[in-house]
Amino acid sequence: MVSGARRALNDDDRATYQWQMWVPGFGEEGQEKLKGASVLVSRVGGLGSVVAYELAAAGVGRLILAHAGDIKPSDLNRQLLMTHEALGTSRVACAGRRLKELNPRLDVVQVAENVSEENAAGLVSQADLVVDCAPLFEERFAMNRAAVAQGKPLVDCAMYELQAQVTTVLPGETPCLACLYPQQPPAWKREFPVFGAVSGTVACLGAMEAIKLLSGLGESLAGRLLTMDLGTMEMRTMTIARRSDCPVCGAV
Amino acid sequence: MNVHLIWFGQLRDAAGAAQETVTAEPGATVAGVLSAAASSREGSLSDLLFLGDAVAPTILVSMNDVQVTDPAATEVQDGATLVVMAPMSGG
Repeated sequence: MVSGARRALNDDDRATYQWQMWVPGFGEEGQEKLKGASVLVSRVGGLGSVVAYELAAAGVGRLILAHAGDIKPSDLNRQLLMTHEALGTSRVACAGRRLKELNPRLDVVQVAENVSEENAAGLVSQADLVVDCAPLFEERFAMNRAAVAQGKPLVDCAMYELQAQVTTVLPGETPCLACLYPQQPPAWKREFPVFGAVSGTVACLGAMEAIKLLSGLGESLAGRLLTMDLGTMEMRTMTIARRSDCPVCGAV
Repeated sequence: MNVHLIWFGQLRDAAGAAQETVTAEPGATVAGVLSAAASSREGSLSDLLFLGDAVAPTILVSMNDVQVTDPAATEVQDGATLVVMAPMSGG
């Protein structure tokens, strides 16, 4: 579980989150942990939009959103925080506005940059937990290095066509992203086939991982990779292994 | 013996199938089964799966839901299911 600050609930919080506080093992204590938590979401595209939306709905206190660029028509089939009216304007600004409509008590930090080697450590340092939703492995590797170096949990969500996967990296305990992919995948392309319902499905699973890790609820995917094929609705979970020679986490 | 293969990501496109059952000799390794599957096809499957003679380090393989960390040294179990995954990130 993430050791973050707890923040006391007020009456508005209790009214809003009453139904989820009924979940056994969560309660008011779990809600206080969410309220005191900061989560970095790397890109608010097909995956990150829905991750951020679910975390805002659940009452996470602070979201740091990192995503460069302006909204394009091709974003709108899956990037559910973007709107048609906002085409041509900043993605992260639109995402922040939509999240505040859902949860005005949410503290949103808008960073109009993608995660990179230059900014990863600074962004990760502001968060208790990272949810990795970036489309490029360069961004994912930079965030993985920063998360492992700072001992921050990282939830990794990914998809392609009708298939998707989720895992949780706990630095020093589980494989990190560089254990799974020790080099840059040469065949991955920036543009990929995607339905919003697929990215949204895996995003909800990633958001649930974050909620569990922040509140201490349930059992996370630490050391396991959940894979799913939405073409056949088959899900599997495989155990995954650390690499003792991993240059990122091998010495952690 | 029979081995069930499930392809994920770009490997599925290259294999032209989501899954298949292949036969292998007793003692066959995971890498050997994948090599035979790739050599039975034209196209990019072999390029995606292998780096030189070895399974590419970015390809994740599990046997009966446990990651195979050394495909060349791991013998396939009769009736095993191998999930073979190309890297994916999405966004």
